[in-house]
Amino acid sequence: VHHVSKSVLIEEEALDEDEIRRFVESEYARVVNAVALVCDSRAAAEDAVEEALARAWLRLRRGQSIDSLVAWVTAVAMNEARGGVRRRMAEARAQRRLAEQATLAAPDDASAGARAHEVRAALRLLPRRQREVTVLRYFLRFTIAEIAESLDVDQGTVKTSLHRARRTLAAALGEPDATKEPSCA
Amino acid sequence: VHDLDERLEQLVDGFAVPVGTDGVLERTRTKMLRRRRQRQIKVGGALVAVVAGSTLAVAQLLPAADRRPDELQVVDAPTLSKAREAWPGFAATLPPDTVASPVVESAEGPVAVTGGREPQLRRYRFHDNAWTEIERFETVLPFVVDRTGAGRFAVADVTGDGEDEILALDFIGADHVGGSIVSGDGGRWRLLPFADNGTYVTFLGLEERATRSRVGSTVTNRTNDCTPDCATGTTYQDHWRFDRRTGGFVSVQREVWAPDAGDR
Repeated sequence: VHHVSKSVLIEEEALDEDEIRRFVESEYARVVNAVALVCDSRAAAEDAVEEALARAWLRLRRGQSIDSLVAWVTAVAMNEARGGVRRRMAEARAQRRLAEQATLAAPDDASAGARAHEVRAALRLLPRRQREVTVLRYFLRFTIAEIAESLDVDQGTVKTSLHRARRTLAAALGEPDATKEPSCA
Repeated sequence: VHDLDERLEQLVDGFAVPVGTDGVLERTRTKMLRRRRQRQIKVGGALVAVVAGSTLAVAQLLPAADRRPDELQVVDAPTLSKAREAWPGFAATLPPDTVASPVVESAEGPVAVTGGREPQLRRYRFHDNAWTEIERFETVLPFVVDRTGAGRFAVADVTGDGEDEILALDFIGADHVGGSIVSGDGGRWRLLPFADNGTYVTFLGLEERATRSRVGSTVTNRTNDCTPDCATGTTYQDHWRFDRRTGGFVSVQREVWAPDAGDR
């Protein structure tokens, strides 16, 4: 049996908890929304982000460093949300919780709601990788380098995926596509 | 393109819905403690695995009467630091020419792997303050070859679950070097398969990925079909990513270098 100063333990725990608390306050909602855009289920996204955050917390307690908590949690949560069985279980749990809280917010007006629905439908058209890249770029505002780091692909792959996603999204949303070659008059 | 970028940012932003954060910290803490308890249970101790910083767990595990006001009793436990401290000494007792991996934390506590002159990797677990061999994985080649050299180990999370794998790199073959990945992803320790290529591939490009805290890696390997011979055979380079559904790696991209006709 070892005797360890209580003040040292409390101080170390407080540091880890502070970091997790800061993440929950400032990044959690953003990351849940991002993962929900990729996995198409807010319930599964919430569960996956909390699971990822729990692993990060454990990792920090072991003294292991994490370069970027947002990038790390996002990547692990996206991986978590991929598992079919896990996703269904998470959805059931989270739906129960959401029903209790009744906090699922709807857009303020009908037109915003319709537009959000359109965007969601457009994102569904994208293959998984393009959807991930799109969400990381346009929702989490990651740079190309940060996306490459998060998904562990080279920057060229990110650019190619983004280019293809842009084309699909522009067509689906009726936005002008500046990536198209101008047609001859 | 920039206009479209801005528009997409607005549109995707518009999709965001408010997400409440009430109870998130508490639920996350519960998940974290549950994960740690699972580790404790798996290593078989009744009162184990109290690491620095785990004030809450200590308070839960020990009766208040047993504690002095300014101290917490920390039960002698298979902590990662203790396991790491003990590992070199234990590895020194293994047969000559054994190469030892770094120690990684896993769902069943600290784990490490060794390779030697036999075509197998051995996995060990730190339990009750001692390292114990748990199982052996058959490999294509020995990890250590007479006079030629030895493989080496690296650590990285290549499956993206937030836990590290042990990468056995540089098995030395007659005309190539290869490797295998020892992983506990999903709760069962095994050599991860590469689609229908088995659990051994010739590696490239993994070493530099092994030193940082990252999630998921693309594993790259290069193979020569040696037809009609290795000097003029076709070379394939595959980029693999872990597929959670199959529990193995799938090739996400393949590059082919066909030899010039004149080389044949």
